[in-house]
This record gives sequence, C-alpha cells and structure tokens, in this order.
Amino acid sequence: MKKLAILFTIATVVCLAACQKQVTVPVPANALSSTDAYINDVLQSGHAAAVQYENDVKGGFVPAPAFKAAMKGLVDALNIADPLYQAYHETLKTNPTAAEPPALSSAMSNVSTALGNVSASATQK
Amino acid sequence: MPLQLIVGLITTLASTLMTVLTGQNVVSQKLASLVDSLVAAGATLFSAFTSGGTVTSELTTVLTTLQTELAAAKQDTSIDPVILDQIAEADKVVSAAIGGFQQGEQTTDPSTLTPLPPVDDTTTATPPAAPPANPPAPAEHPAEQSRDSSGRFN
Repeated sequence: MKKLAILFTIATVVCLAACQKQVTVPVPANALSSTDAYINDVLQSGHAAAVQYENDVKGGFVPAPAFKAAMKGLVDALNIADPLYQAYHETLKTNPTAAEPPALSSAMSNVSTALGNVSASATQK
Repeated sequence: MPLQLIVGLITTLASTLMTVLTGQNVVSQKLASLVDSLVAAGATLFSAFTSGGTVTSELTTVLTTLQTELAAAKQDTSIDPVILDQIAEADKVVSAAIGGFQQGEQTTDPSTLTPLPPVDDTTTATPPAAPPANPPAPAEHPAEQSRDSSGRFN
C-alpha cells in the first residue's frame, strides 16, 4: 500500500505540474493559432482513446465499473467540447485574433475534470 | 494540457490496480511489479515536465515498459484474467491517446472530431471478491459460472 500511496502522490503532482506548465510545441499544419492547435491536440487525443475503448467494448471487452465510469465521463465531456471547438476554429478563419469563448474554456476544463475523475476513481471501493 | 490529459489516462492503470487491491487485499508479485513501473513512469513524466522539454519520447518509453510488464503479468496464472483484461485495456487506451496526440501535432483538422457514441450503461465486469478462507465449490461461485473459456464475463 505504501507503493500505491507514492504512485498516487506522483500522479497528482504530475497533473498539477501539467496544469501550471505549458510545454511549447511547434504549431501543426492548418492550425490557426497556438490555442487552436492546443485544443485540437487535447480533443484528438481524447477521441483516439475513446474510439479505442469503444471498439474494444464492441469486440467483447467488459470494463470494470470504475474504468467505465471514467471513460463515460470523458466521452460526455468530449461530445460537449467538440462542436464548441469546431465553431471557434471557424471563427478564427475570419478573425484570427478571436478570443477563446468562455463556453469552450469551460468545456475543455470539463475534459480535464473527467480525466481527474479517472484518478479519483482509484480510491473508490 | 494535452500532456495532462495523457497523464490522466495513464492513471487509469493505477485505478485498475487499486480496484484489484481493495478487492483482494493482496499485492501479488506481478502486480507489485506493475506498480513499480507506474511509480517510475510518474517520476519520468514529472522530470520531463519540470525540465520544460517535450515528453513524447518519455511517454513512449514508459508505455513500452508497461507493455513489457503486462506481458509478464499475463504469464502469471494466479492473477484473475478479468483483471488482466482491465490492465490490457488501459494500456491500449493510453497507447491510442498518445497516437491521437501525435497525430494532432501533425495537422489540425477539427472535421475529424465526429460525435462519439455514449458509453453503454449496462455491461461491467464484477470486481474480484476477496479470496474466501474456505473457497466454495465451483458450482456455487457465481463469478466463475458466468465466465467463458477466455475468462471474460458473459
């Protein structure tokens, strides 16, 4: 149990560090701004994970309740964030300096929260 | 934040292991090895974050290590096959997330973000129970009755 306590502490610290520190990466092709690229990366990553999970469930994988709840939260958050991001991307085409809409910021925060719930589920019996 | 997302997915592995341990109150040698790998993964990622560099290569290394540990754990017949399924799936989800992240770094294309189907609310695996002091006969063990030959629940 000591190892698990260490693991959980490290995971929490890493997540907090990620919240505070933005790692600079080159802006990808077709990106209209660094914010545009960054949101796209988050959502593409989440989608890839969700699609993999869905395909495996269709293939016969039976998830544990905590695992399933975490993935459900992630999928729900992604489905809310996607159209908001797509609309923002379109806005950037005509207004390159457009600020990120508060609703999109909130949705992206919820994506992060959904992932935080994955960690929190580890302590649930 | 993309890295935060990936780190969050990696902790899915920890979630699975905690489920095992709270259910069985036992840490097998193979699972302890997996926990060691996760601890090392957390340390590696933390180091990458604090140094300000990219962590793609570190994540790849971590993932490779975890996959190696998983392969070793699969050889241990004492671990419930349902638990191994959860670990393997977490591993696959993390791999997919990293792949999606890398693809997103190549090009920005929001049109590929199509609506995801909701997660089914009905099917879940039953967490393993603590091993009884006097195990009942197989016919009286519901968890065993509902599995197929691969160890999955029907």
